[in-house]
Amino acid sequence: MKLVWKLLRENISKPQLIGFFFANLIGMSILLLSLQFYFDINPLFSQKETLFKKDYFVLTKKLGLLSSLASAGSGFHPDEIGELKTKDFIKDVGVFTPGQFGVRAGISSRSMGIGFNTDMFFESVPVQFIDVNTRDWKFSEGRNVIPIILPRNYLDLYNFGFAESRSMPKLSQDLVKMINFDITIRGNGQMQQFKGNVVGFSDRLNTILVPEDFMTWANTRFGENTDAKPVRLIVEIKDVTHPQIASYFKNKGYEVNQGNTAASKLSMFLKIIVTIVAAIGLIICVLALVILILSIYLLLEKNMQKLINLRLIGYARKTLTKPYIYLALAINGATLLLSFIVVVVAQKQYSEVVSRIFPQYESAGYLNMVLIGLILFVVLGSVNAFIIRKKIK
Amino acid sequence: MNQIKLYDVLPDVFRGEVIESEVWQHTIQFEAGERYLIESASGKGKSSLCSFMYGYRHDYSGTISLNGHNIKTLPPKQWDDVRRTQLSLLFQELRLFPELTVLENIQIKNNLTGYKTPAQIKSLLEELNIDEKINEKIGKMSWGQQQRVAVVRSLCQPFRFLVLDEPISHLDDDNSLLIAQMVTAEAQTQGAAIIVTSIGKHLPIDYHQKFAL
Repeated sequence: MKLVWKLLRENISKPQLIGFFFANLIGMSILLLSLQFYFDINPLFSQKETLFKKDYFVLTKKLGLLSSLASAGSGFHPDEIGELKTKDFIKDVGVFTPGQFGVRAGISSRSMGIGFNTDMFFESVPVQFIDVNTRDWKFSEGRNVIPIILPRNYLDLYNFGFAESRSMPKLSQDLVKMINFDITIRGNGQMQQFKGNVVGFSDRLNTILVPEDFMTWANTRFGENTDAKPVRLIVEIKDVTHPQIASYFKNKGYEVNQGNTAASKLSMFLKIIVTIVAAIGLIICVLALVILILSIYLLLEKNMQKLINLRLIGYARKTLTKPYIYLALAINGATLLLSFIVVVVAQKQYSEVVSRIFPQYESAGYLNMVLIGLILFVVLGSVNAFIIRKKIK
Repeated sequence: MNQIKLYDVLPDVFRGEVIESEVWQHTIQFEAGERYLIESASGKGKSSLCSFMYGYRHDYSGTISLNGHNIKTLPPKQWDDVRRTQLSLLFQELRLFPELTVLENIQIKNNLTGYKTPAQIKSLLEELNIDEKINEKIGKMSWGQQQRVAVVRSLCQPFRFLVLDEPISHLDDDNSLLIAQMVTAEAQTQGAAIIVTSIGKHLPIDYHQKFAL
């Protein structure tokens, strides 16, 4: 075997093999790094409760000049709601039920002798769409207390906008929760006094919320326009990265108020970029493989007379293909190992940057990348072996 | 394997020509233990016959059989076996490896068969007076010297048939005699046949049968 190897390695061209080695190293590294990057970054865009947790969209119809005159056109027809429910990227659809009665809220403090009143409105959505967990989220007729959820940005607006400029005291969330509002509801020729109590603040829902059971009760009692169509919908999105989301809403003329189809767009861009980079890596790998195959072909061609002679003095084909297959495997294996190292080093670098931007970033681990690398190794090895066997008859 | 048989064999290049030959288009057979000479002028197909029997050229019509098996149907793996244990061929073009030394050229065959001991190889080379050049690269040696090395290599395996294609074309009478003695001795030990081709100067052994190709 030593003599055979001595004979066969005679014509090995080092520059060719080094050329292949580096080309394959670059290709393999780019390919594996782009995949590793994809595995690491993708969860940031698709995980439910991390960065883009706004997988709830609030939909309204676009207000045009005409539609604002004909108010009936701006509501959602039950068919449209039904169609939304059938879309595979939508998990659930909820309707904003507006109060069909007049609401007046105020604070009065007899001891201080001051008070103020304002007109306002209530809306309700099904409880599963509400991002505030509280036991107080229920209404019972006898108690006369209405739990209310305010958008957090109302409080921010007051604290950081109004209070700041007027040198007025800032209100903490807990303080607001302690205030009892006087609420008067009138409509349908009736009027009733309630106490209003803020039980939480919502990041998701930009409206003044009351429990749905209160709304149903109040609308039947005080409501004047019983068949009003809902004008706002809340939808829970199953896969926020689904590429069709943005285009579907746009075609339908729905406005997505949270302005956050960004995740879907970002994720699509990410996928496109990673695909392009991975494709470039793959192309380089294929080219490198072609170089290797050409080198081996050339080597076999240069050694053909020796190979024929060895076959003729009784050497089995397997014995003669072995050195070449081992050579190819050794080079491929070395490039694979080195590209693993390249990926790990590069991943440490970008992980630092990424985790500075996204604190919740966590590496996906190397398992997938290593597995894909090994699969590539096996595929490349088999292609090489096949070609070598074909050449030595 | 005790028998090589040729039925109506004719190289494709001679097809359509009128051939006067005791081999082509005849049925002849070679038996283990016998000694045969195939003589002819150049260009009559001696080397072709050797390559047909050794199974690396197939451009002929008719049938060649080893122990009754058509050699065209032998699978490659079996050929490896035949070439290691049954059939040894001294190629006219020798097919030595110029980048290896004399000893390495022999070892590369003997490593495969493990048939001769290093001492036996050395004494064979001594007999042919090339033992001093044992570590020289074969590419630098004369054709006559290379022929002798190739003969030694062809003996480094068990065989039932030893085919020598013009073994002494570049050798003087003394060396021819040495080779004749060596191959007959080896063939006798193994109970094998010797088939020699020649274009005039014959390897001086006692032939059982001669064919004019």
